[in-house]
Amino acid sequence: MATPQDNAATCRELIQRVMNEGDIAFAEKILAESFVDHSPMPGSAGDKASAISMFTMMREQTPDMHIDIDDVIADGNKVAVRSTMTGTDTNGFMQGMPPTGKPFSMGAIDVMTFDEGGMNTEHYGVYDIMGAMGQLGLLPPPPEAS
Amino acid sequence: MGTTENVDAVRRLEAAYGAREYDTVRSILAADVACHTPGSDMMPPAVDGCIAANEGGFTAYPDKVTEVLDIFGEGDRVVSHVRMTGTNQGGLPWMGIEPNGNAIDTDWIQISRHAGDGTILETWAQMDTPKMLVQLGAMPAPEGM
Repeated sequence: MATPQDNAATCRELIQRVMNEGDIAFAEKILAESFVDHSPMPGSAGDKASAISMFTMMREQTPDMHIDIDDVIADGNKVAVRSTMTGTDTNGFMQGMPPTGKPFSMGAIDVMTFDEGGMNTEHYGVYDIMGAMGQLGLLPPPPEAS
Repeated sequence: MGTTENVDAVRRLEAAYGAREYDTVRSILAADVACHTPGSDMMPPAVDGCIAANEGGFTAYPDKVTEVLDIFGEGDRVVSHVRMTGTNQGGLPWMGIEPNGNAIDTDWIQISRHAGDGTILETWAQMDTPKMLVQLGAMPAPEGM
């Protein structure tokens, strides 16, 4: 039975190996087949395959991306991770956005749920997308107040 | 550790924000509470800024309702996932958004750090602002939506 400490260690390893080192195979191993992402990217199915595609795409969009873990909170079968992602907007911050070549820093909080065997079954997260887009000069100007 | 008490403090805080009971809010938040939410640098410091943000929410969405979807803690920290729904009847003037009757349904995740008696000393939150701005008609829907 995976303990909260085991699950916390898995989250740290997932971020280090998959997001920071590009070891996508580790995500294949840790995400359950029934994995559900409750906050998928727009247009994404939110299943295991789409999560793996997203990890790959993030690494392609920002090849020098690095996630620093600021805090980890584990209780029962859940782990929350507060983190800061930094990198250079090399191939577009999001699909369809022109690359700016600028550095950005984006705060995030993720919550992951694990089964008894320590497999990651669910995820939800919120990201400071507005903050990062502001740093990259990608925010549309506010509409004119009439 | 008082994880149960800390979780209870966050639930009571959310209820007090919803009821606009600011004496209760001030009894749960430390007077010098440090808030690390994006945009909090535009608000008054500490507890006054938290109350101003909540009042700003009610000005924009007078029917604002929040619901705690998920809550858990470890040691002196609590994680809460909160959903907010409402109708844009007041507008968000600082963003150039007029009242337009649009419904919003968004969420945030907050991590709070507590003193031994449950008082909240520090918070970190991330809100799904892009989702809300799309719902308000202030930002184009991202590709694929």
